Amino acid sequence: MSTEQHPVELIMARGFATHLSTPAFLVDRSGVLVFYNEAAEQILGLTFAEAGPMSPEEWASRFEPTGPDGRPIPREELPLGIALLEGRASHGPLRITSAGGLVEEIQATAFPVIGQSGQSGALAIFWRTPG
Amino acid sequence: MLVRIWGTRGSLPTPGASMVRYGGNTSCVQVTLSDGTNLVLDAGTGIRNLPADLGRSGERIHILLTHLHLDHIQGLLFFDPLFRAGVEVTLWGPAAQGVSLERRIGRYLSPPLTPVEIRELPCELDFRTCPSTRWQIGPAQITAEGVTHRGPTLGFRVEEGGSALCYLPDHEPAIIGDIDQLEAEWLSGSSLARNVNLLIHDCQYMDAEYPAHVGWGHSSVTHALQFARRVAARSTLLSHHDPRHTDDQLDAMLADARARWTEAGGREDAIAMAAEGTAVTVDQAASLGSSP
Repeated sequence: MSTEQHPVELIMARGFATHLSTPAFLVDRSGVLVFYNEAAEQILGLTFAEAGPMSPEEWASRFEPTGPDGRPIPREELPLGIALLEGRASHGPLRITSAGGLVEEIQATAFPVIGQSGQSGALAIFWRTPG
Repeated sequence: MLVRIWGTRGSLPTPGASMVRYGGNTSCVQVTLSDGTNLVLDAGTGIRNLPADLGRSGERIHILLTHLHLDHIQGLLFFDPLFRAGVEVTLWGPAAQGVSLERRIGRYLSPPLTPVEIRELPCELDFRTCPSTRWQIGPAQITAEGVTHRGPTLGFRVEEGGSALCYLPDHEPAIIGDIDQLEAEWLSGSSLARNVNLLIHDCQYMDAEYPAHVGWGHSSVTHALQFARRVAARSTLLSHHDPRHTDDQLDAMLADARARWTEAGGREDAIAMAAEGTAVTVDQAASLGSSP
């Protein structure tokens, strides 16, 4: 085993996400998708074990996040992008496309994960938009 | 690098006839480096038994605190060098946003909890937050990293002359998932403990006790062994004994641990229970011998 350990707050964030029944999506400091939980798997259409870690470009192109009107949103303007790049919480409605091609209307809330040595990532929690 | 164990008990000092062989003092480990520099890992009540002449010849004493739970700092008030003028002591500890280490320790070292305040200590006391990158003390390289326990808690890796010690007295890596299945980057403590000659690891609970203590920040025998195997530790001292565990119970836990370790292909003398007075020279092939 030669891989360096993630910062402990990211490890704890994954542990927290694992136990949530609401979908959660975790990225590291550089925006790499490092984990999503079982509830997110139901919306995204594939398990994290199948998907594996993804670069920001990969996950943005795979899940195609857009605004509710279908217009593309730059990654840095997504709630997760704002949490990661600006270090602040953000919330907003989104549309994503699952691995099976199904379009899902969701509300996403994202916040930065900040430990004793600074920001190590961001966590987004999301819900299907009612109706 | 010589390691001496002065306190092995977790949570609470436990005097008593049934606690004599493994000891009742809380966490404290002395590490003597090749140039004579002394590192003291945690300041539980075991710190009282450190050699009385420590610091007398002008050498700086470094105390490295994994965290500030009482069983890791309670001995500070009874550490003689702090009460000797001219002795130089550096106290290293975990960072906390907006509150200095001195102020946090001062919550304990002040009335009404104690009769003495930090400013009354005659020694030259220096408080330092552990850096997030590797640093040097004497001839040793020290690495501190956050690990899974309740509250901000560090583990330490001490390297000197090609040998390495890892100290994780309060650690619950299993809180995230199955230790055997977690990828290395999600295994708390894995970078610190990888391929060390000596691992000192939390083993507070018997396996049957763990389910009632999930999330309390400690490990069972199974978890400690799984972790030691995952990081390829050459030898492991199981420590932070539960205050309820008697010598006989710790003997039984060790027999069980050794049986499982050898069954998995390991050396029997690579696993031992930490006991007060244990001394281990950390070299390329640390052997831990028999139980006390």
